[in-house]
Amino acid sequence: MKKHTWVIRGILLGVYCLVAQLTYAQTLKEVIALHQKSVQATSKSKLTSMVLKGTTTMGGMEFVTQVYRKTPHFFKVEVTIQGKTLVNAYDGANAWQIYPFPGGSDKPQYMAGAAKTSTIIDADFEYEFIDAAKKGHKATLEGTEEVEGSTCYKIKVVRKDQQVKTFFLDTDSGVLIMARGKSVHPMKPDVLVEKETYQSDFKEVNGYMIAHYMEERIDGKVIAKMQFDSVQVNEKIPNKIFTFSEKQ
Amino acid sequence: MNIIQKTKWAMLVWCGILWSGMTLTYAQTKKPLKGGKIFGTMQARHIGPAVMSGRVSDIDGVNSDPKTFYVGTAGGGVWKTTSGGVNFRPVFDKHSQSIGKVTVDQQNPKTIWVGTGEPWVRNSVSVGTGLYKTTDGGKNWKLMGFKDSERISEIIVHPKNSDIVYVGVLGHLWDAHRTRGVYKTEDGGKTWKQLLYVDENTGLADMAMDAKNPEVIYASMWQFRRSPDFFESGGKGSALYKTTDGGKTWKKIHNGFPKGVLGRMAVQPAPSKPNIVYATVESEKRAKNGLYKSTDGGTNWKLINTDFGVVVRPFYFARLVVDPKDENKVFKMGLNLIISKDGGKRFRTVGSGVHSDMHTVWVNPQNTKNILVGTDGGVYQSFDDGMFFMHLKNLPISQFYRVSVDNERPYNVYGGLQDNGSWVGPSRSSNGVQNRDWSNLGGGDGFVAMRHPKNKNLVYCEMQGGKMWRYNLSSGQRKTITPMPQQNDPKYRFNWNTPAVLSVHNPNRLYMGSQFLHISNDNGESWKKILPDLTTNSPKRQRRASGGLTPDVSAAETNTTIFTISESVLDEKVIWVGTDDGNLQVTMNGGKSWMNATPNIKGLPKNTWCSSVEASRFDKNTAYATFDGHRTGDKKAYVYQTTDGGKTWKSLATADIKGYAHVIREDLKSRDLLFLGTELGLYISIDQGKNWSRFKNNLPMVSIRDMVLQANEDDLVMGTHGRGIIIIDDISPLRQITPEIASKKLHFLKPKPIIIRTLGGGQEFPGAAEFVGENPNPAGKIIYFQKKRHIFGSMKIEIFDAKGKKVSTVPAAKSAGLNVVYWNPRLKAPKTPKAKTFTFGAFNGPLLPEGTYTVKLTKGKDKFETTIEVKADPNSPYTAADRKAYQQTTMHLYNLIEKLAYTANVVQTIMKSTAAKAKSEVKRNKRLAKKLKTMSNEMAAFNSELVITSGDNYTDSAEERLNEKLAALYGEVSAYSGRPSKDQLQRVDVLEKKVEAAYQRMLKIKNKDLKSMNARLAKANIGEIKVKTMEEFKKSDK
Repeated sequence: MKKHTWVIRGILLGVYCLVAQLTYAQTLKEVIALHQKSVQATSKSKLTSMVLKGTTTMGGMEFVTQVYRKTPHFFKVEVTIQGKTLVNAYDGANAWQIYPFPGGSDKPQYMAGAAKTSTIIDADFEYEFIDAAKKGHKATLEGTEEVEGSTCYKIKVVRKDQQVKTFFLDTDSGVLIMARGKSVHPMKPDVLVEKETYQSDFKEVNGYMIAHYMEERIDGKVIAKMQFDSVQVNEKIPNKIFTFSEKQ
Repeated sequence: MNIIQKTKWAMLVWCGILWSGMTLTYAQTKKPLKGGKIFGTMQARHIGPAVMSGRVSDIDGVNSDPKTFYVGTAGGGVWKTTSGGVNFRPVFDKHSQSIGKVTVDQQNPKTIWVGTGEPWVRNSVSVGTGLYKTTDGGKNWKLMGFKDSERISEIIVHPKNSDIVYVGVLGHLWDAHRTRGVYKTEDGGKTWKQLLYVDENTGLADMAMDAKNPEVIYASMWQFRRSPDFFESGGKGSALYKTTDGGKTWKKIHNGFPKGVLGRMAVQPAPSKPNIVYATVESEKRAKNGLYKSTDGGTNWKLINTDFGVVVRPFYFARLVVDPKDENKVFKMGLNLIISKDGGKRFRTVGSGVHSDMHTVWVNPQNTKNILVGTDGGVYQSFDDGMFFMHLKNLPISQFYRVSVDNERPYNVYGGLQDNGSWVGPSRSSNGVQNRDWSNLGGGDGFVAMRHPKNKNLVYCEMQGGKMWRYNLSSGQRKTITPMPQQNDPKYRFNWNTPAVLSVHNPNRLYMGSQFLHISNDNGESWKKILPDLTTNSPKRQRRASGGLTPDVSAAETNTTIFTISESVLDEKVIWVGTDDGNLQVTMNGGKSWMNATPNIKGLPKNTWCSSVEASRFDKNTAYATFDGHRTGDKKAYVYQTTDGGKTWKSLATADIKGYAHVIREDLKSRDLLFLGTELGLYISIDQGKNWSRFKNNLPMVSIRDMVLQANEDDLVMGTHGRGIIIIDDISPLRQITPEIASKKLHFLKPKPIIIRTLGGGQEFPGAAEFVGENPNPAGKIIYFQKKRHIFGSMKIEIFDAKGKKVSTVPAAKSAGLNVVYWNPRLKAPKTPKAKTFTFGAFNGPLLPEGTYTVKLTKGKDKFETTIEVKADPNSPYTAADRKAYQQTTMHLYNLIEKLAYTANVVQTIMKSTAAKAKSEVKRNKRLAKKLKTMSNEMAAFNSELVITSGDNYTDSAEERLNEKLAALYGEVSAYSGRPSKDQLQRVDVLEKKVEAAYQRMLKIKNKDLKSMNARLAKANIGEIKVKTMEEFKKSDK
């Protein structure tokens, strides 16, 4: 075989490899595997709970914030302002809040309407695309899209309650860069609007890769920024802290 | 395979992979910065106006939920309401904003079909980019074909089978094209079949289905064509067709129509009695134009009405609507909306302040007295059968032709709008830019509107065909100053959108263009005509009888005129003039001689409309020009630069630019930074036109007809033809991006000084029914450029004062490209004492003093540093001494609040701890428990002097205590950035004494009583009561 034939073959193979690289389409399963591998950085056990402590910046003001999350869908966020604590929580059955502002009460109250829906949508500990079918959700990989200059896999999930959430995972690392779904507007608490939650500042905590920064945007405008200075994982959190009780 | 072959294959594979990897690497390193990788978190903001709204092309509602309806607009996309019009949001921003048809699938109301490209084909009409479908109520849209159709006029979804959809394509306005007629899909849009086609000049104008038999469809085909200088409605292709087999076969149904050539026709069968069909007919026999009625499903027709309202301007108003329940109630669009209740014999004209030029009506099928009307001025709603209408003032779909700004602070924006006159409004206002902030300057179709550079009271504004006024804002007097032909002068030809510009060299100088350039040096009192005629003066392009079957002479087709003028900032004798027939003329000697530069532009088709010319402010031989050939069917973007006074030209157009080019602007300070407005959005180049990126951050794919840079604020102000005024605040960071900066991990850009401004604001509860334009963020900006989005590791910003004391921590933005972090130069709010109710006066920290601050950004292990200036507003009414007094007093009060907060914290700690211990010891050690209880009670009494301990945050409020009094004073003093009043200063002294007394009392308790109590507790083997130090308290979270 002549030398130039090998060269031509080499070029053709190069073209093939290039095309293959450009056109290789990931499956949803592969994307989720990439994500799980990146989240479960060096840990062998499953992530089951988190306590995040930090600061929320909103409307030019800062508030001390504490978030408790636990599988499968226990959720509680506490925001402290001048020593009074605003609570949003879900215990798997009831969504409730303490809203100690004018027009609210410093006693716990059950949520209803859009506020309740919004809290429930955010309550799942695991992202809905993980084991989606088992949970009754439908997840589809919808290609890639650029988010703030990062190319991301786009996963659309239709939850079993028919709420739609879209997740954007960094194609390089698999971590979640942004999630889009319904939420209440802070200024219009009875209305569900589309909210985007951006994540970054991922740091390893006991073998898990956890975002230490979240930013919520509605209509492209930043509504809240949450910076977490302390993250604890797999701590034992009693269920009762999530549960509605007259005495909090 | 032997070892040699194996080795060869291994090398081959390795080489192949290496080569492909190299190709990727090579491509990446050579790839210029684009799009999101430049603009990062920069955002555009929309200020409306919505007070006059803009043209609406179509409306469709959800029959089962009539509070939900969709408004398709001429240039502002699709807007959705779920509240009966109280509130709207745009749902189609990523696509062409010119809408032809919106159709809700009534079986699946979350499925909506949108045909882009408006069918009301006036001279300034925009273009569409195909047919789109959403299945989630407008969140996501998918292109379903017809990408090159330009305009889709009708979409009908089969009432029982959502997979069957009929689409009517009107098609290209300015050239022959085959994508026209009626198409059908039976698989939800995957495949399409053309059912009715006449020829490449005839499109589908109107289509309607028999409400009781979906196999029966009426289709009105229309032959039409525009050119830059002419419009023609009608031709042999125009005809009305009917199918009774779902489009397989079609039959002309003209029995009773006038003989000869027909024009644009509307057709509508009555939904309640489909054999009754109405049609408006445009024909060459103008006396026979009118409303025709058939009572046998179109077999025979009878002329029943020839009123002006029925026959007026068919190309613009050919739509009929019949009430869903009453076959005799007919709505005809027109100059006005006319309604008949007797089957078309007589019509009444709708009044009650509704904008003229009606294009569509939607009748609520659940309550047919509730109607929506789409006009050239937005949407109106009636609940009483069209007697009285309410204007929906929340649709900012205004269509600007030209825009200008002044130099006020805040600056004002001026502009003229399609069919909505000329207006001025502020770039920001207290509580946002609202409808009430806008003032009307002139009527008609508005074009140029601009303020005299020196005289705040003089504003020039214009209507179609070059009618120019000089308007005195103080007296309200308006003087017509249009140049007029003098002895032996030919008739002046003014473009529909006549250019006029102010000189930068002489504040009283004004330029206007007819076929000549006119110069006035006395604000339009007198004009000097500069010879020669700068156009081609081609008689072929000066036909008067435009319109086709129905004459339509409105100055819209006046051609061989000057369209754009630019005077050099560097030399007043250098003037560039572009014409609508393709000339680009330049004079270097103030008009003594001209050179037509167009022949020097390679690749530009002859006679292509010069849409803008921009003389460079850096070099008098440099200029930029855009050309727009869409009026002859050429939709390419033509963008050029000359650097030798027009002798040679370089094309700056790249494949990234979508849409034909309307306007190019050079930045005021960087010759590398260019802005290009096209029919499909804004494009920005940071390398003098070598590469272009579409700016998408809160900027829809809207037609940008004009732009101006505001020099004081460095804002880019865009006049869009469908989304009002859109501003990108402070484009100065774009000037700083270089390839070197872009290659760095992170680079701070030089920010503008932070100006401490008080915007004001007032209490109001406007509800949601009016559009409110967004104000610029008043906070200061920290700006940096990042090569990649930050994902892993900490990233935060800390700000330090000149003494190195940390004054603020700000979350960092993480995007690739430009990052704008807003920083409000205030300290954190003071720590307040814990009370039963909120301490409302102390939610904000005090403003930081003017000076230089150091910004330190930590990104993982890397650290970056820059400085930022905080300055007083130059328009501030307060002296430096006043501001210093503000600083001293607010900081003094701030420290007093924190001192009181610490005092209260110690008192409350002792109060709670003693109470708890008393409770636990009550059985074991009654004497100690009693002492503890006594102490707790004393602390409770002390605490109740310091803070409110009962009530709520509303009407059940307790009497103010020291905390609330102090915070109220702090709130009042810190909200005013000047010197506190004498009374306030005296009050500070009064409260300071009380805080100090409380503090000393607390210290005494802490140092004596608590020590004594702790000794007793120790004796009883009970843990001591610990209180925080001041430092510990300040560091704590709560």
